[in-house]
Amino acid sequence: MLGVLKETNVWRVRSFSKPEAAEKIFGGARHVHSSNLGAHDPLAELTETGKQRKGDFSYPWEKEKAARFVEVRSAEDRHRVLREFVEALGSEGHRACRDVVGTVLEELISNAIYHGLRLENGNRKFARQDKPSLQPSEYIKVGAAVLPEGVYLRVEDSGGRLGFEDIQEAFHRCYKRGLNQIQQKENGAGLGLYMSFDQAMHLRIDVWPGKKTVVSCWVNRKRVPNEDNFSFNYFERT
Amino acid sequence: MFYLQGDIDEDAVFNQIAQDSGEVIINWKGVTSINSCGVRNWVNFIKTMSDRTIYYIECPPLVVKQMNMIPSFLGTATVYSVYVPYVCDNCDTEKLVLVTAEKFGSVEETIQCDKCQSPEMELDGHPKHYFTFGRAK
Repeated sequence: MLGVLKETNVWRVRSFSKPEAAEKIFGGARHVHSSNLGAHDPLAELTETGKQRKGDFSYPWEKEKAARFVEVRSAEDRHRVLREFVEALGSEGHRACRDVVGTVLEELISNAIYHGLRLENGNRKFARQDKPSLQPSEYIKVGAAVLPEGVYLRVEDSGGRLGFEDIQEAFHRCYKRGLNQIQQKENGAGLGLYMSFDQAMHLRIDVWPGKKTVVSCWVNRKRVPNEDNFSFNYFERT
Repeated sequence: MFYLQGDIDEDAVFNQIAQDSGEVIINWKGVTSINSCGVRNWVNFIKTMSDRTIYYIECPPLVVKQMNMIPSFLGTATVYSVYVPYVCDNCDTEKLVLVTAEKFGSVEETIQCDKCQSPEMELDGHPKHYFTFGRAK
């Protein structure tokens, strides 16, 4: 059931599905929060105040000091980092959590390597079949905090190239029903980001254009009875 | 029948499926992960099979997720059976139950846990959303 459109690029609605949210993002919504708690949902409140304060807010898990950070210097590093983080989850908790953390982390790191880091003219540096190493001036930092309730993931790259228009285009291509959507772009259709949005509960993207991009998300560790609680936030920072 | 196994990623190849004639049955039970390159590979492949009769059987939740989120993953195939995940609220036991197409619209939201006998083993997810792929065609 849809609620009220509060501002042109903020949707807070009672409860809806991820494909419905993707459609709203394609339509221009940079801040989307689906909640079955309505106005009592403190996270929905954060989403709205975040818009007003231009991203100057933190979700509770972002304040976690136990987060561990490692640097990825090459495409080969990706697999080592993934293995370490997924092993750190241990065997406790919902099996789906480990699958989601593995999938989301792989997609976010791959996005950072193959799409985040670009040439001066904005063109991609690496094709997906390449196994590149980063230049000294480039970096990708991966962080994770494993908490009893869930896992906070954060991937930062030194590119700052992820525009909201890129996300709109990718989401449109992915959610739209039909056979000709995904294969149109050989070298990345934003599918990884779309999959991360689908699997994580709260996805947040902060972009400092030309400087850095931070993509972070929250994955529940225990089963969530109602998967309609989720959010998407895109902030262009200065 | 073709049994897909392991990770569906940038290295996955499906040419062998295309070489077979007639109806194609894809058994997804052995698939352990799918990344975005794997999805793209599969979507490109299934497009070349649009004139064939294809059935997906024994789709695990990770495949159902892809079918729901990326409709072109299904292509022109018909889904014959999927695994529905349940989790016990009492003892956290997880279980996959195979459900065939005629029951997609009437799957039980709660079943009894085999381990602790609790009647509160719940479908892991929203039943309406889990079967979104059924409305894709």
